[in-house]
Amino acid sequence: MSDVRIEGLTKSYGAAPVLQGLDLHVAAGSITSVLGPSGCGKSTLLRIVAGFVRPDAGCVRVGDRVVDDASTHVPAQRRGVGYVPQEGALFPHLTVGQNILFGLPRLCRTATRLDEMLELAELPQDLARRYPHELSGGQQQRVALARALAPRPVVVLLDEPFSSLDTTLRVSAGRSVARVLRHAGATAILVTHDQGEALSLSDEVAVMRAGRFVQVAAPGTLYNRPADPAIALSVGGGTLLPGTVTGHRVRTELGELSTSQVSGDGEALVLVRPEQLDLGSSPFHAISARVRDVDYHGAQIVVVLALPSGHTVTARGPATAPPAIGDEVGIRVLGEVRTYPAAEVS
Amino acid sequence: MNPRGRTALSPLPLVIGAAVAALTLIPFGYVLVATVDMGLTQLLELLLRPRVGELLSNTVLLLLGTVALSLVLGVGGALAVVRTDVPFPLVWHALLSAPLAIPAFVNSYGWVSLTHAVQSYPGAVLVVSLSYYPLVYLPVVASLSVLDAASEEVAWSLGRSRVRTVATVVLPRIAPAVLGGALLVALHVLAEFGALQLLAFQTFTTAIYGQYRSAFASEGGTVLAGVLVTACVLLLTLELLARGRRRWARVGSGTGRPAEPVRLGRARLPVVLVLVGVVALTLGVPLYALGRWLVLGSSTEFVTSELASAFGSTLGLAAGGALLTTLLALAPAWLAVRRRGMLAVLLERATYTANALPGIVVALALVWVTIRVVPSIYQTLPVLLAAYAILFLPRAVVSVRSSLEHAPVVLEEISHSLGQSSWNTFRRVTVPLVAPGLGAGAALTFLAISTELTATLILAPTGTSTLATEFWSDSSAVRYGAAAPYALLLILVSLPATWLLARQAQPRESS
Repeated sequence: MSDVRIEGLTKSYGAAPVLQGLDLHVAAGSITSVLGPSGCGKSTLLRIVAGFVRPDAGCVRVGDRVVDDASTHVPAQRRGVGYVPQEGALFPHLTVGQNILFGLPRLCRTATRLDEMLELAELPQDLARRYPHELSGGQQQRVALARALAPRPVVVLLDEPFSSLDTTLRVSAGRSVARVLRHAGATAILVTHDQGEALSLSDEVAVMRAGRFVQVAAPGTLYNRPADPAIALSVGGGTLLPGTVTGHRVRTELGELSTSQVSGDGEALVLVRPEQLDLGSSPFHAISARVRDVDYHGAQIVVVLALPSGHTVTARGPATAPPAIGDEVGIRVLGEVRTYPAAEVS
Repeated sequence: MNPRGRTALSPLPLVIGAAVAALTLIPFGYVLVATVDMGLTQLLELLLRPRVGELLSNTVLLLLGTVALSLVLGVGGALAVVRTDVPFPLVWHALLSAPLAIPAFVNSYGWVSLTHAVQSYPGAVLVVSLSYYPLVYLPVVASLSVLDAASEEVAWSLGRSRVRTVATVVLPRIAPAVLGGALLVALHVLAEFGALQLLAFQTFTTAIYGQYRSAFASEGGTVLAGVLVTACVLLLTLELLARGRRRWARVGSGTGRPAEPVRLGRARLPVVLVLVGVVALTLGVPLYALGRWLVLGSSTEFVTSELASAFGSTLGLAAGGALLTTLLALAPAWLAVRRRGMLAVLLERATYTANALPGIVVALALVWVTIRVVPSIYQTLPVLLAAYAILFLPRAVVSVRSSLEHAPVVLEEISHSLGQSSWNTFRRVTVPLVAPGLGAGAALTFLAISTELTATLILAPTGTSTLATEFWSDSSAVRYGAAAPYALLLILVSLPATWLLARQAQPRESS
């Protein structure tokens, strides 16, 4: 079990900078997600850690071993870093069993080890003789994971492992992969563009934008205290409203709200999460708004409301007693809000 | 790896690729240099002869006739097999693909040995079309079978009649296949030598051969070769222009659903009768003639030892040629798949130019070059093998390229990340993934070489006889019985490749 330490990692392709000085520490035995839109450089980061690509500058350490710096480049085959790419990329000419045992020395390719790995990856024993094209997408993904874990790597890298699966499968495949990783006690870096995946599967989330980490934090911290409005909107979503901060109070169109943040007084943008907006008709629901749109998401509904000023806010709540489009409803804000200096966005 | 972080790109593949491209460009170089060499006055004098005009009109008329008839047979056959409820579609598919297994010169031999009536323009059009229409039929079947029914159903639901739907939705989508097939037929007709010689129909190719036989590598032959190559290049350009930039992509994912077959109803019997008629002409006639000459000939002029030696040297030449061609194809194909730069694309494309080169021009070019540059290797084995390589590199590159695409880089990276060395990765991942495609490509080249006639006739070392050349010397001397066993072996040798091609274009069985 090893940690991974990345310092000052830079990489460009031609004139286009891809990574611009990344620092990251992944604790031993933990799962860290790298979250970002496509093209932000997260796959390049993974390929550098795997040893497929050499960085322009910076240093990568796995445990106490330097695998990349100005003078060192340990080739992929001597790193002991497992890699699970998109779509799994199983060897099409080998059976599931041969795929899983591929990375082991000849003498270690035993039925016992295969059974262990199948069990670890929660795959039925009779799958071992099948060929990759006979498996479902989720099964292929778990075989790829078992193959990566079989030689007991110090670190496992997963590059958008669930992006080829359909929505319902993604959630269960994600959970089972996380379970397998924890069971194996592996240190893992998971690259994804799906915030739900990143928040639910990992111990830490590193948010990447244009080749830089903009926030590295535990999922709860990331959700509750996003570093800037853009992160807030991409992780969890919500509405940004103008407001005026005085101490721990913020005056907005939704009334006077409270914040525990220590920030300067003055103009600010206020983040209101959809689940903080409560609809009702009690005296506490002092602000009135008109219902613009109602979207059903199973047990929950998402309601888009127009405020008198013309701003729209989004509320999320249980689907019991939903309002109709055009209704006038009362709203109140639950809990504390986050504020950002107004200058930061514009 | 260099310190800048990018893998240092070895120049070796580029050097080899450039050498291969240079080899394939020899025939074009010959035509250019030899033409420029003779000067304008002599060129015009040789070009503006009534003989050239006569050959031109012969060739163009033959081209138009065979392309038209091949289109009728090929597209009609494909529509009948794929889109109607004709009984036993897979059997008809096999029978309609089968003429590919009978080399055109063997087919002509069958017809000519039965009736001299085919030694005429209509006869030449008929016999050559019967040999080459599968080049239209197979791609059209392939494109009809993957055609998604959804767009046709949408057209019906928008009020189009079935006939208008076929005209406005189906035909435009299979147009590239039809066009590509027509081009292939045209190129084959331009390059055809044996069949037309037997049919006593003079085209540029037969005239070049005659010129070579009487006056060796003369200016007259060079001028004709120049016209022939120009015609081939013109055809390829026309096809490129006609194809344009349109794309017929399916929007969305998944494979399409085949369309409901058209119910023939009362037309079923006539359609079946027409198909029977076509098969009788394409397979029945040549096979009947062959059978007849086998029975008649075996009693009189059958020499087993000659047959065995021709068979042996054919196998040897084909094996050597296939090996060389596949090895030469590796560099351009690898560059195209793994490097993908401008230069790589250029080198790969250069090898495709041989598609426009008739065997006779390649042979003539190599004769001209060897005599001028290295007379000592004139009519030796290496030159013949080089001719095979130039002629068949286009298909070898295509199959090597697609087999390399079966081994994407990511699989090699995974193998490295699993601790495997470069050698182990090559042995355990790359070779098993690439080998089947390489083998199939080499096999196809092997089969194509074993029935090659024109270049072999001109370039084979003295005393070397192959199935094709032995067949040729017997049948052109009207020893039909003696030619029959060679014809049979030539057909047997062509069968596997035909089977492969027919299977690739297999129509889906309607459920």
